[in-house]
Amino acid sequence: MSTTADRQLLPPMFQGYARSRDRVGVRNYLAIVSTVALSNRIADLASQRYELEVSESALQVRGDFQRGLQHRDAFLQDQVTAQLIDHPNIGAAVVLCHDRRAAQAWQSRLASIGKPIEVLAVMDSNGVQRAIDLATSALLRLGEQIRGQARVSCPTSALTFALECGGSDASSAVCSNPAIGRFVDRAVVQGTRVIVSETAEFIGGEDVVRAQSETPEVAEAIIDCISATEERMSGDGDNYRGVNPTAENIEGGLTTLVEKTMGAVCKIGNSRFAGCLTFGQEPLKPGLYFMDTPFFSPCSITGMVAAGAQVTLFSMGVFNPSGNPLAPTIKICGNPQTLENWGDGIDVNLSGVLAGAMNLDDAGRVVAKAVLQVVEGERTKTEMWGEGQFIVPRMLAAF
Amino acid sequence: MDPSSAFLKPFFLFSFTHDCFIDMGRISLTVHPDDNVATLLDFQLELTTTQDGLALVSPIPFGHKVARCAIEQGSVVIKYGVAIGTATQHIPAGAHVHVHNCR
Repeated sequence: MSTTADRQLLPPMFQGYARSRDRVGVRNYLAIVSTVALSNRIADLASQRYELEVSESALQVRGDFQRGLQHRDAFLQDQVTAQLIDHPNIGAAVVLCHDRRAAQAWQSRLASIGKPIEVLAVMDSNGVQRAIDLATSALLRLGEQIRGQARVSCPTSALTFALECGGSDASSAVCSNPAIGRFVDRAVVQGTRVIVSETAEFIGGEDVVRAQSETPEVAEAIIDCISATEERMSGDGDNYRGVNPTAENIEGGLTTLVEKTMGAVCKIGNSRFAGCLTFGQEPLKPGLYFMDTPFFSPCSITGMVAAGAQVTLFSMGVFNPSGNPLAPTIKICGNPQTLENWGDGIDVNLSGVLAGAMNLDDAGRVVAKAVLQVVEGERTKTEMWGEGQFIVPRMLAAF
Repeated sequence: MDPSSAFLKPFFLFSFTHDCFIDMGRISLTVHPDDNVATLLDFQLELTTTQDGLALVSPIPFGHKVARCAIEQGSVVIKYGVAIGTATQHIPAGAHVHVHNCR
């Protein structure tokens, strides 16, 4: 018989940052967002200067964001950039644009965002050094405004978790993924949102999707995404072995994509899908969601973080330096050799499962304990190393 | 019955009682009773049998699969109770099953 305490792996409240629209942040980042790759270097140099001056770092949010995109590519990149600026883990942001027109557009778009924002057009600065100076002063002003903002008691149910796996091997399927599954089963009951993605890693898992969706419509929507991905992969004449499963998956013992899928789906535990999301689409109600994303974990995680995930649970077999700078990425591993060699990059050690010293319920509790520590401020290994990437996919031909 | 239990994900059968057998053979995990492969979950590559007595044809690395019985060329390789691939050649019992003989 399970008690209430046992069913609730996380306490109902935790210490976080209260944001607009009842959202909750687990970090209070001062961000410098480069809306286009052209301003990345200015963002880089300004954040270095800021760090020198106040011994605190500003979080750089920058991808290879492009100009001149069309149609859905332009829309998606714009949408994702706006969602990242709006992300509850950001307390204030300097938004760098290339030209004055883009800056004016972002200024009006962000007018009612509910957090301190300064938008700068690099081309208005008249000089590289001047551009760095202006961006640094903006960081200093905003840093002053949010420094010392206190954590307050916030509902755990305001959390959204992104699930991801990378460097998968056999240990992922028997330790880290099912341990995350145990955590997810409880987290969903506690009213949180959980998102899992990477459509290609569901190929061969259609029966699991059918059995674990709240309605047949949800299952069909997810299976349509899987079929479209499978069609693309088989229709382009490419051999995907070595691409997915990746070379390191194969070295770890995974032979086919279906085998990889069957391990990856363990991340959802026994929970049922409440919906199927497009890249970056925010889940509006509690529950487990599938998001249609390309493979390559940093890209998938970008979609889930844009959708509001404040924390990423990342399962590994062999080491993988993927993650997202904005949503602290908790690295979870059960492979004893990886833990020995890459211990300085891993947050949660589940090698006890393979050693017979820990069962999966214990492992789920270990994951929950790490989650609670991280959402209340403990830095993850990815944060310490500054790992992580923002990648927005393109759907149309490049030229 | 919970329909998801039809899919025996690893944790349903996953329990370790191998400590007392540690010197008697490799630790292997058969996820689902229908599986014709098992996964080796230790690093004792010098041992030539598994704990349940299967003789290994060659040393098999951690996380890689062994054929629990002979698998004919063209038949399916089953893990998690599902077909994960097809044997591209005859695979004898105890042999390493991977990209060289399964796709």
